[in-house]
Amino acid sequence: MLESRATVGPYWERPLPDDEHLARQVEHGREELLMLDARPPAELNQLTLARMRQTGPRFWMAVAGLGVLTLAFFTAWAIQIVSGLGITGLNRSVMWGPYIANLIYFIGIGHAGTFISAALRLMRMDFRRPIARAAETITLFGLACAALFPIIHVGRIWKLFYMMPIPNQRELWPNFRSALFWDMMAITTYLIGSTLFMFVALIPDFAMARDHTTGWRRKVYGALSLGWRGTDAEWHRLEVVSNILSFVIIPVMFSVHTGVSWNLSMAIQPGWHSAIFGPFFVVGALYSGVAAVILVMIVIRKTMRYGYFMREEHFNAMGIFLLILTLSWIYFYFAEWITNWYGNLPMEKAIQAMLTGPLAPLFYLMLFCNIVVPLGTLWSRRVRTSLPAMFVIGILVQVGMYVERVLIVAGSLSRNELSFNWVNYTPHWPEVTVTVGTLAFLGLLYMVFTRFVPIIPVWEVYEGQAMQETRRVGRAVVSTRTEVH
Amino acid sequence: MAEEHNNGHKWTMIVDVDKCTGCQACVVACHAENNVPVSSEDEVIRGRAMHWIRIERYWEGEYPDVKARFLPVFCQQCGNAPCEPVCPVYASYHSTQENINIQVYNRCVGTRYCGNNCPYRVRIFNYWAPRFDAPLEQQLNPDVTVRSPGVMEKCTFCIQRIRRGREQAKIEGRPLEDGEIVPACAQACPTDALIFGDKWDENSRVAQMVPSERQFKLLENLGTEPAVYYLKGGEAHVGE
Amino acid sequence: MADFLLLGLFDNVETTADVIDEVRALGVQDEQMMVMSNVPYPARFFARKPARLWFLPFVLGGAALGALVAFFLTRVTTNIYPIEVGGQGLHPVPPTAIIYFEMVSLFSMLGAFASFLLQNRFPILTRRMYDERITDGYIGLEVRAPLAVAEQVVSVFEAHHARVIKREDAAAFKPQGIRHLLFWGAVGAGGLVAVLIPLLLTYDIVRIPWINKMDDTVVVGAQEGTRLAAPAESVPVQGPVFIAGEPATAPLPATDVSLQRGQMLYGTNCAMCHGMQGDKVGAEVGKYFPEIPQSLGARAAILSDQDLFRVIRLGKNRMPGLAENLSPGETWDIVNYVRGLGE
Repeated sequence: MLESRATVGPYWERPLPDDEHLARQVEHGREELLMLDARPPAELNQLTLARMRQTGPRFWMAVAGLGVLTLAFFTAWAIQIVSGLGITGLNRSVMWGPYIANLIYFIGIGHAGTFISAALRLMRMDFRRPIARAAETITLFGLACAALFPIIHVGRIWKLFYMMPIPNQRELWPNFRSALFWDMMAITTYLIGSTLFMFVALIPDFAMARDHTTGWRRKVYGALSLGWRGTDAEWHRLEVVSNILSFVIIPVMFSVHTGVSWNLSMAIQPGWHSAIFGPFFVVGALYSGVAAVILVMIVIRKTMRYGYFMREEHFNAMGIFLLILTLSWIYFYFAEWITNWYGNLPMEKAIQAMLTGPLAPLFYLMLFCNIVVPLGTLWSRRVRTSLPAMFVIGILVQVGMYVERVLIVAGSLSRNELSFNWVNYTPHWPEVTVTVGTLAFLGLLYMVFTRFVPIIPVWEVYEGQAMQETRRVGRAVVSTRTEVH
Repeated sequence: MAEEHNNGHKWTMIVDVDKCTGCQACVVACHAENNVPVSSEDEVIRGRAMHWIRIERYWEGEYPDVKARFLPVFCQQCGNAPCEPVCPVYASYHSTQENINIQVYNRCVGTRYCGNNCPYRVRIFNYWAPRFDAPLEQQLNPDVTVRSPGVMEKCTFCIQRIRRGREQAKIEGRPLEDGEIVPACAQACPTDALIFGDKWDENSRVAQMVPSERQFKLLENLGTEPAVYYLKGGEAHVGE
Repeated sequence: MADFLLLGLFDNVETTADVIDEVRALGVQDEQMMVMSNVPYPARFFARKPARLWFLPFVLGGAALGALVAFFLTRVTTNIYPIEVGGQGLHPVPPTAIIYFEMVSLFSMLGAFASFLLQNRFPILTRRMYDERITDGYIGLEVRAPLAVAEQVVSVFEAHHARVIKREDAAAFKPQGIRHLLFWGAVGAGGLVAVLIPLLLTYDIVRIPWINKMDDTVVVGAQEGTRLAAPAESVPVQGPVFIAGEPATAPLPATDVSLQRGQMLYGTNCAMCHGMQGDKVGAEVGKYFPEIPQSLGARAAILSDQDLFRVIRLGKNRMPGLAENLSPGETWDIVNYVRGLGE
């Protein structure tokens, strides 16, 4: 490596202005904003790969803990397969319970990933740069875990292949008129699309990892990077395919959770048969998804020492996003509530009576977690940039959104037109074990993933840093952004 | 799509609520005929009573003016069945010959969407493997499948009897006569409150009883087009 | 004349653009140059033409394929096996629209991705000119030039303070050719095999014993094993025999005529399995029917006449019923004969 004798250096060696006042502003900007704080990629690459190469004892303790819970989950599932679904709390009126609520929940938290990496990319929002892949990983594993739930909740797993359109000698095909089939199509499309999108953006980072590792790691990353060199032709094609995939996957993302909500609203069950479920669930998904991304950001930042990449500005932006989603969720929930309340139809009144009556603790818990806490706190920048506060808010939003789904799925089913058939639902140990275990499984998959795959899309960070600068306007220094495309 | 008046039959059940005493003979007969297992007390408390036909009992009023109303409820074999389009594997479909809702046990994967969508909640799910303690397994009806755990089941209008009756008529080369096919519940009813027949046969009892003043359908406003007519006039109270 | 491949790493876009201008002035064509970087710099930063893109045909082709799949699922499957459900008709529009949307989206995304791989000729399986410091932020310029020009290009690199300069004989780098197509062909073949394996199972070409809890029920095997004996005195053992669908018949007295007829009929109908003396036929038959009693006479001694009559007429386990072969009178003759068989 030769010493450069050039007068203009690389983009990460921009000198400070001579004027002290301006220089201080530039330094302040560099402290605050990631995009202004360009450092040599050599250093940042090492930082990214550092925690991927070494794991401390706390990592293994976490793996052990999550592994035990995952094992409990699979054991509970195995027992359920052998004994039959009778060990759950489901009954002849409430035939869908937490397993379906889990399906909705896990697909839901995955939506933020696509929104952040695809929609924010198309909208050219820079704060997505360090967090896009972390969010997409939630999508990937959230979908994978969600896909387990149709298998868990079905009565005859060994015949589940009937639902797949495989040619067979009996010439029987699945029923495309069923909302469950639309779900299957939509989730498959979304899973494949997300994986492709994530993989395409990973290629340059695998190339970076290939160039900075040795041994078996180098071989694996080399294979995964497909021989990427970063030529202008390769980049051009990458940008275009990312645009195409972004454009296609955003409607697909909407359709997936709409499809999942249509599992409910296609039924004539009171409390379910509502046209607003489509958009309502999509907004709810984004809501719980963004909160999940915030949680993951906090954990990754701490455990993988990515404080350079994830700064206050990112948590602030995500906090504002979360607040917007809180307001949207409140709007949809209120619209649903007031429609049912005002119409006074007996069935919907019965369901609302149940929510405010026997199920009141859960109902008010949901309202507290989804409305009171976020609305009361996210207005303040101090809260949005305080990691402990955001962690708590993130957890509460997860709890609130989960309770909301369970109330809709299991709550509504216990009330229907013939009051002789009103049967309440109580969860039993399999549902609890499976739910907790699946969360642990998701966490475990995520943890292992972050040690093998660079969870920060560093090339996007460098792209932003290379294209952003500061400029002097009057006595102040402002940051500029260049539109490159 | 409305059922077309074709060469098939429109099997219809008439329930005369005025005559029903709530004796539950129909329930027992159905259990015996259709190999429906008897649920334990714990299971019933958990809300899993397995009855293909059940007598819904509603109390009205306060003591000492309490009145009981009985309503036998079973699969209404809806013309516009909400349970049919939602099954992803076609385990629940509409027969164009008998014009009733058919449940195919060996196709059912147990997603239970149909059970949720039935407003009458007449669809039963086998949460456990059906148990028939000895010697009840010797009493099982060989004409009816014994279900496995994880499949949905429901009243079939004793389709095994319908099919056997039709085969018999075909072998003998004659049309079906009214009253020849009787489901187990109608056969057991002591007060003749359950009347079964082909509505498209103008001479059948049901065809003549359908245009009655007392006639109503259950949850008719949902548009499910049930094949079951209830007859009730005046105040049909027990013990009055 | 042998070509050389040269690689120079530079600090920033301006320097690289300057170098490119000067190298172009030396007569090197645009196609002989390649810029490599760790962030996407548009080609116009270097006054280069952007690469030709071939996405549209693949995306449209994928969309068409998706529409075809959706057409199959919605139109063709319901025509192969039409099943009526819930008043919706066989081809309702809203569910059809959903399936079309999903499949068109899926296959157009797959088409775009396939096009991305093919245009870039991924995976690149041959050695290429590269330096790892490109992912450390330095911009690489690869130039392909004959020997004489190569020396001049190297001096241009040095003049612009290149961090790294590499020079190699172009012959050391084999062209990719169709290697990636062979790679994807192999992957595709593997995928095809994987897809065809389920078809072997669904078309019953390969039968594997699969879980079926239907045969787990009490019904299976309920009638196998010893038949339950009727409780004592619950079944009349004297008097006429009643068999459903037949007139009742009473036993015939065991006269000589009856016994003779019985022996003849027994020889024709029963001896092949039971032996003329009721002592079971030889080893071959006995091997296949271990349940045939060793001594028919001994077995008959514990059964009533009516039971024997029923067994002969209706059969028992694997023994066929002879109701179609024998009249009731003939059956009673055999019963009388069997009674006379010794232990």
